[in-house]
Amino acid sequence: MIRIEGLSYTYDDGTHALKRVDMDFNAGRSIGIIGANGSGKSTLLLAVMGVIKASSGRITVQDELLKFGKKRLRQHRQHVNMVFQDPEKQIFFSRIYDDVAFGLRNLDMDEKLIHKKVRSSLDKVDMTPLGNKPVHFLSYGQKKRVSIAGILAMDPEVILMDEPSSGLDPQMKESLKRIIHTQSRDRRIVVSSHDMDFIYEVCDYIYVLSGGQVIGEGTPTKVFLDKGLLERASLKMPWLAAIHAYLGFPLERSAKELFENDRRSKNEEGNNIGQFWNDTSGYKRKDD
Amino acid sequence: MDRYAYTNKIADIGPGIKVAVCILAILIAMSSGNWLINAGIFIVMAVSTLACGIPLSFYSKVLAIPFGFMLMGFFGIVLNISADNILAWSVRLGPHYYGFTQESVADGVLTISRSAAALSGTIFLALTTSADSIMRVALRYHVPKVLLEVSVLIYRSIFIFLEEAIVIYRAQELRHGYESFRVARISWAMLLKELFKRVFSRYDAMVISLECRNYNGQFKMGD
Repeated sequence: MIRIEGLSYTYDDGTHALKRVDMDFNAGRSIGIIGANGSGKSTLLLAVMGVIKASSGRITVQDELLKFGKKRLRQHRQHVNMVFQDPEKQIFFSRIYDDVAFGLRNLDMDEKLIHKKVRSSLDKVDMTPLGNKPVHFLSYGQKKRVSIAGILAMDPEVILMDEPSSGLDPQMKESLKRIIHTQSRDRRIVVSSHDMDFIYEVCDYIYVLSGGQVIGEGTPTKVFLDKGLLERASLKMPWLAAIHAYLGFPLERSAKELFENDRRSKNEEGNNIGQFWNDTSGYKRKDD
Repeated sequence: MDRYAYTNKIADIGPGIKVAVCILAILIAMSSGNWLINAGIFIVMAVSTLACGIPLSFYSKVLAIPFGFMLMGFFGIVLNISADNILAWSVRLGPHYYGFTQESVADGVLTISRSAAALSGTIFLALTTSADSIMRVALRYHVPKVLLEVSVLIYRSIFIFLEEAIVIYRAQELRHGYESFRVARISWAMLLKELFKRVFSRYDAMVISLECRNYNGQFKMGD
């Protein structure tokens, strides 16, 4: 649905943030854009949102060129929206409900419908019991959930997430993985990150950015086992890929699968470490 | 600061009633010419506030600041300067007599009791009702939306601003930024400069984020 062709962007100070980037967000249900700090990930997402105008190249949405008129952008942002890295910068109201409803009210939706949508999107991020607390009493992870709910409420077909896992505790990271998995069934999710383990588990197609250029792309298995490619991008292998490549473990998509399959193959009973993986609070090392 | 507004015993009770109580207290205080009535209002409001679970120590701290100003005002009203010895009680300093008359004391007592009563009503509302629910009440009674939008944004921004300031202050303090008056002066200047810069970068981020969420000139709060 979204296609980026030959996109370049140069900042006012002459820095080339993006150089002839080609991407096709049809390549997977959840697309990962990985790259080191300053590789152009955030700039790319802002360009897709229509916040910044590329110096050259084009972005097409359902084969239609992204136009920058006020009305067209308004339409565009109903189909495509973005969760910012810092939830503080996305939350304007101190009342959670009002903030989640913000995007819907801007579209002049009926309050009854808004109520339903706000409830269900807060549900999707497990925030309902906290619905009446003011934002400044929430933890960082809870603010993150509110910012995600605010975007889910608008029900866009594509959600961009800029560094979604940064600053989150292990448990919140697991629940974010679950949210992305569930949501990628109904819509397309594009995640930019340098959290290799996170991207490895949630994305099914990967673009590697380095110095504003796409230097590699493919399925997670292909990209994450390519040590040379990752090194060129100043990245490293996810641990699941590394123990496969260097220690001969079978290549699994998640820690849970790894541990559960291991247990099954050894026919072991008793302590099932894999079941703790989604709830990391109970996780212990094998030799503990 | 506003934690009690969300956690006190009557936090969940209709904000409309609490706003009405507050306005009533202010109206009676403004119209009554009897300091005893005002004192009565003050006692009733203070006791009600404390009964809602606000600790006395916190309550007295909140009261202390405006009371300081009120006392200054009180002396301003009570004090008279006269060239002749006509005051009820006075001391002579140089060519003038400084002191007060019975009327000026009565005026002063009435004024201070009136402000104390009105203040106790306002603080009752502020400590028992969250800002958000007060906004809801204002919205219901057709207070102009522009005013409310600005209030909502200011309320949210206060906390962002405070948090940023605290983070910078701590970072400076941990690296001995407030060790002596000399370095503290520099640290304060840097803190202000940094806050100023951050206000602008916040502003930029906010504009982008607003744009993405289809902001069109109104911070809507529902009807």
